[in-house]
Amino acid sequence: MAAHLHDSVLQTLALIQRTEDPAEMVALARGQERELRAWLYSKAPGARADSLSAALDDAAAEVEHTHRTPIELVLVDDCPLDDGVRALVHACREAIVNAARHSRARRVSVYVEVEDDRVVAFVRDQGIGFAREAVPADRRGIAESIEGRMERNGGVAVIETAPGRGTEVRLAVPRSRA
Amino acid sequence: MIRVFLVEDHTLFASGVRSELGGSFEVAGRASTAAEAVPAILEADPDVVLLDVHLPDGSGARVAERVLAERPRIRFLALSVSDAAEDVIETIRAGARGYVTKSISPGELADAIRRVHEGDAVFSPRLAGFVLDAFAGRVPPPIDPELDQLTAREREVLRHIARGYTYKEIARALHISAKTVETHVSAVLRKLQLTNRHQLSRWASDRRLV
Repeated sequence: MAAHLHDSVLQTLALIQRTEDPAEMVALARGQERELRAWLYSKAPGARADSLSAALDDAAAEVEHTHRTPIELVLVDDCPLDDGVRALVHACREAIVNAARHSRARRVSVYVEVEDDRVVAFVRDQGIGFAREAVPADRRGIAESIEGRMERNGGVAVIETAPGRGTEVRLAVPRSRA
Repeated sequence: MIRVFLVEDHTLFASGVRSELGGSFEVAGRASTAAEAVPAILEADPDVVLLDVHLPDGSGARVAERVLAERPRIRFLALSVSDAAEDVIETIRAGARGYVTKSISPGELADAIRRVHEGDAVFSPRLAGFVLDAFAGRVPPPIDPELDQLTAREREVLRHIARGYTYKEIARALHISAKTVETHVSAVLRKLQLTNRHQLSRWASDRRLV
């Protein structure tokens, strides 16, 4: 019975998201959906608090809520957080915020994969794109929060964009040996 | 006009989809339980069935299996609020040609129906992620390498889908034709349906989030 009830709430949320109504409504529906899913599907408390997946979920939920832009997060495998992985999550978050704030895209796609010796991340939007040289010097988010952060942790950041062509930020950081 | 059948127990959602599809598709019928769905689909003989994964009396996967045993021509597209790996994998293995979540926009849903109707596979970013995870190299050596492994190219195509690329954008990025992208995606779907790896079902239940 409880399961059916939950299912109905999800159905209704799905319905709300499908309407052409304002972004606000979509964001509220998604926020509610996220909460319900967390409650329905959460693993044992504390089981994954210190993991890449938990940190990414939190970052995506927060940006989605603040900027009213759906974030589509896909993660392959999981790993514990260390300094490098934490830096990758922060850089990811910065890239998602930039996309949500400036790209005018309907949603942001985030793909993160844990490989044997590194973690890679892709943050992509199909928005307006930009020219690197046109970004004002006082907006140092990209250079410092993304590229600088990755370099300090032995990683790399590549930003592919052009006006009208969307933006993809690619990040990679080595995994520390356990 | 493509004839679509809805298997959906949620009345509100069903009528929403019905009115959205109305202009471009013929809605050939609707059923709200698994028991009702099988004979009704065989009777209506639609081109594409939009299949809810959870029904009051069972799973959508069983509906797909039973119908496909008699009418392999009918295409199934799973449409669900669930994005748990177990549901996704079970439905695809039962014969669905694609899996999309109910938050998909009307335009994207119409596109997915057309694509499934043409015999192509429809992978959402999340489904692509599940498949990459399920076929990752962390399991014992495959029994049948032909079916139990993804080629480098298939993996690359799935990664692009997971990154939010459309098939057209993938074709451009990898310098291949859109048809070749479709071929790779269909091959992955076939592997997912036919692979004998015991690990796959265990993998899915390990990923079960409840």
